[in-house]
Amino acid sequence: MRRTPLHFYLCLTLFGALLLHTDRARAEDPEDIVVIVHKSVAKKEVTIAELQDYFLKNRLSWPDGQKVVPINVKEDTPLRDAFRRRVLGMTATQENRYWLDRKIQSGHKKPPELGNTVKAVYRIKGAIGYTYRKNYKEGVVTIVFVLPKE
Amino acid sequence: MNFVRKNIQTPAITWFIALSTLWCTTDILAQEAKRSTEKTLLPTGADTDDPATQPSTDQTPTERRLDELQRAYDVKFEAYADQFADYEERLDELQMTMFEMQEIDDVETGIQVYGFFDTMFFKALAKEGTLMHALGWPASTFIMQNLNLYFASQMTPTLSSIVELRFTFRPLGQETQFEYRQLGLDYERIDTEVDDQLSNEHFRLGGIAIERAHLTWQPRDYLGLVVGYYLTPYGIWNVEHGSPVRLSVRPPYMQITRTVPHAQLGVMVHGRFFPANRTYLDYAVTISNGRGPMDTIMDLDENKAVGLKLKLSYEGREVQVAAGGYGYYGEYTDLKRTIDTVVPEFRLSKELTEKYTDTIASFDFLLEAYNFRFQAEYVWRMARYSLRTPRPQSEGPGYQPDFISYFGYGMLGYTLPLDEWLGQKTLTPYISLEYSHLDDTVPLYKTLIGIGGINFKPSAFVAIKGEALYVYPLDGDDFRVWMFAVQLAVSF
Repeated sequence: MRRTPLHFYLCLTLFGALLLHTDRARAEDPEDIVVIVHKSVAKKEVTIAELQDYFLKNRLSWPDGQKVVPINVKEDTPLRDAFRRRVLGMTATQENRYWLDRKIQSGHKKPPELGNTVKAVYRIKGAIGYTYRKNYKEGVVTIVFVLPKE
Repeated sequence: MNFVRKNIQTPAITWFIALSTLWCTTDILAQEAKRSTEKTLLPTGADTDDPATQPSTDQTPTERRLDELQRAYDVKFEAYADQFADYEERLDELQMTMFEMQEIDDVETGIQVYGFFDTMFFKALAKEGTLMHALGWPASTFIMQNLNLYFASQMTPTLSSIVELRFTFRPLGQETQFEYRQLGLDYERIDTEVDDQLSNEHFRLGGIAIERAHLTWQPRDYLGLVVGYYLTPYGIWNVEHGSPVRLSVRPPYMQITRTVPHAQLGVMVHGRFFPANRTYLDYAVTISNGRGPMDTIMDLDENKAVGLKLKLSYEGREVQVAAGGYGYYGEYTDLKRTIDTVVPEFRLSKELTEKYTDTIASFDFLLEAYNFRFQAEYVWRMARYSLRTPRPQSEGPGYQPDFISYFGYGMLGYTLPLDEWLGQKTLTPYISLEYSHLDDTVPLYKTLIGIGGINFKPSAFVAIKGEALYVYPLDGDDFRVWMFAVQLAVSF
């Protein structure tokens, strides 16, 4: 039986390291969209379906009973468009229609829009927002979901 | 707000830049040499590293001046952009401070005022000589049916309230009596015109209907309490509520006849559970005055109406499906008061004039998938009398018997995939078939209604609908009628 040459293992190790490095680099891209919550929120991970629920007000409270306060970034920004498309699965007009309908049906209004969501999420109890990874400040808010850069 | 950079370059400048670019790409070394020569010619303090800022020795005085102006403009532009970013930051800061000053950990508090209205052009065509021809609308007409104003307030994170008022031109034009010569009755219609005695200006008064007014306390998703006058949580139409939201112009007959009370005065406990991802189980328990001749003022019996709603829904990206039901049980009581004696003692007695139990079951189903929307509702109602009111029967005078009502409809809509041409505007043709039998003891009330129409939404705030409707009575021709309507519904 032929022995596998040493350089094969070396190549495999290098390839593996390269893959890991690439994966790590992807996970930490400054253009990733990170979903952040206030420190008071006990939930440390959310699913994309839950995110949709929070931002469309289908879920109004966190599991501990604290009220969910979704915060959007301002309209007409690439971040808002990307989040709306990837998480809510909507266009701007569809989102507007959704909130107009909800207002007529149940009085729910759309989440507030702020320029600095990190600061807002840091200050408001129960808040959930999103920003680019490059704007995230460790220890100030908690990341619960990451949307990798497209 | 974005800064827009004005193009102040003249054709001469453009020509100069094009030549420079060509020069750069064809002879870099020569340019480098030239740049090093130019460095010595420039005044001290100039940014000698940036070729874009270098005035060329080949420039005419006008070009040089324009170049200087362009550079000055760039500097100012950068300064304004920085200032703008700074103002945005300060605005955010102020907004945050405002939220903090509210002393509650919520940015969503405050009062909102909004609403919707609709205007319709309507024409009905009924066969001459039929009851519908005489009862119905004599001419084509513009109609304003809804002008609803909302006041919604989120007082604390868990406490909110909503008031919805419907403004109407009615009761103007309400016919209260037909002329009936044999009994000596005259034709009567309400006229609300009044005049200002000071200016002698004539104007017509309208009316206000309270659609809902309630407080909601929602400490958890699974538990909420509503107190006041609330919309009955049944079906699809009653929940969608507003004309800009609804697909078609005309509501189903069950909605028009209010077979299920459209709103109730009392309390409602409601909530939502999440059995799986994107899946919701909603419930509501209603306790109210129920149906009565004046149920929004007071209940005339001790038996409160109770109701239970259950609804299971799934909201996926491409497919949304929901199935629900609402059951209601209540007692209708009417009475009159009679003065028995005035002297020696004032004695008043009350006498029941009508009493029946009201049992209602309703089911609804909604499926939205790949631009299709199918919705269906079914309502069954049974009234069992313990005290009957007189009612003319075919065989002569008699009393209202126990009766059952059935209503059902199915509506199918398809939003055409015209994104390429219409962008975010949507065009949705729809068809609907409805069966109704208001009272199973009266065969005349058995009816089929077919609807075909189109719903166009040019913006998120506006819906334009065109609809043709045919009423086909299953017994007799008296209620056979064609109706055509074009409606503009606006939310604001």
